[in-house]
Amino acid sequence: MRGTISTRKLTLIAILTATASILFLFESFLPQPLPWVKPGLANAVTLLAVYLLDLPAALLIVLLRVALGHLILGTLFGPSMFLSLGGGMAAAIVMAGVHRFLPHLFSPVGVSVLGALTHNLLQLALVALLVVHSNRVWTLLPWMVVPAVFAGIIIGVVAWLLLQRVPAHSLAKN
Amino acid sequence: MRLCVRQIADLMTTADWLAVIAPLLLTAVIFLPNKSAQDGRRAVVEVDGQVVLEIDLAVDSTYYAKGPEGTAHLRIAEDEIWIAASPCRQQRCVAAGKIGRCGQAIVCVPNRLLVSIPGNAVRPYDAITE
Repeated sequence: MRGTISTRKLTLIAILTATASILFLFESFLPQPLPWVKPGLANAVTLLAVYLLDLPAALLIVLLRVALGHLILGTLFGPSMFLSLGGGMAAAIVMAGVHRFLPHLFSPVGVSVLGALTHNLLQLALVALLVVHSNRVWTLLPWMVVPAVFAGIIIGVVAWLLLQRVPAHSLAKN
Repeated sequence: MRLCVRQIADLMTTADWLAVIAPLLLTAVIFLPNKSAQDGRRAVVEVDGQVVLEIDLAVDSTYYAKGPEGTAHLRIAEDEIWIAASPCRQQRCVAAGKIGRCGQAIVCVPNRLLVSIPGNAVRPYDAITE
């Protein structure tokens, strides 16, 4: 049935969107010793969405989370919102692709690390293309890759723990 | 459920480890050489063992260094220094080209001229001329 969505899926999308928005806002209140380093807590929700639902749902959750989060922070349609959106969606696409096509190769930890790296790479590319119009920003790459890998591991472990506790019946993808 | 490092290590597959280690290694390989280039901000010019010039490589400019054979022209551009003209016969110091990293040096033996970029990375001279 095209255009319809089960109540279970709708509810799960709503819960994950709310969780991701709260994590996103909580994270924005944390002190940031380096401006470009964030733990990316909301990425754990994207990872859950990829495992429990599907890519369109994960992209929808990213879109809603970014829009809600930036609306509340007062940066709606600002440059940082488009960076969040691009990074978040690219991470969702890569994580869904890895989960779908290489399901037994990576655990959630590896999928999360790849997602974190994608997030950072795309954000840096967007900054280079849209914000500063310079390739100089790529010198920041090592400062992003190293934290991204470690944040990715932690987020992956969190997602793995959550996946173990999610009741099996909510795994139904309809 | 108790969570320990061992459990995480068990969870992680070979591909996971690859996803963790490969980017770290890759950035290390790509960016560490650039990092040492960051130290090479300064060139020292010596004539007959005496320091005659200390040059900031960040500023594009031309310097002159007088040796026993005559005056050599030193050019600085884009964080690199080279000998643009030299009174020596064989012109090997001119042919040595540009240097910009720590430990690199150009030597002009007839003119007793040494241009070097001091730094932690000690390397053999790229070219000793004549």
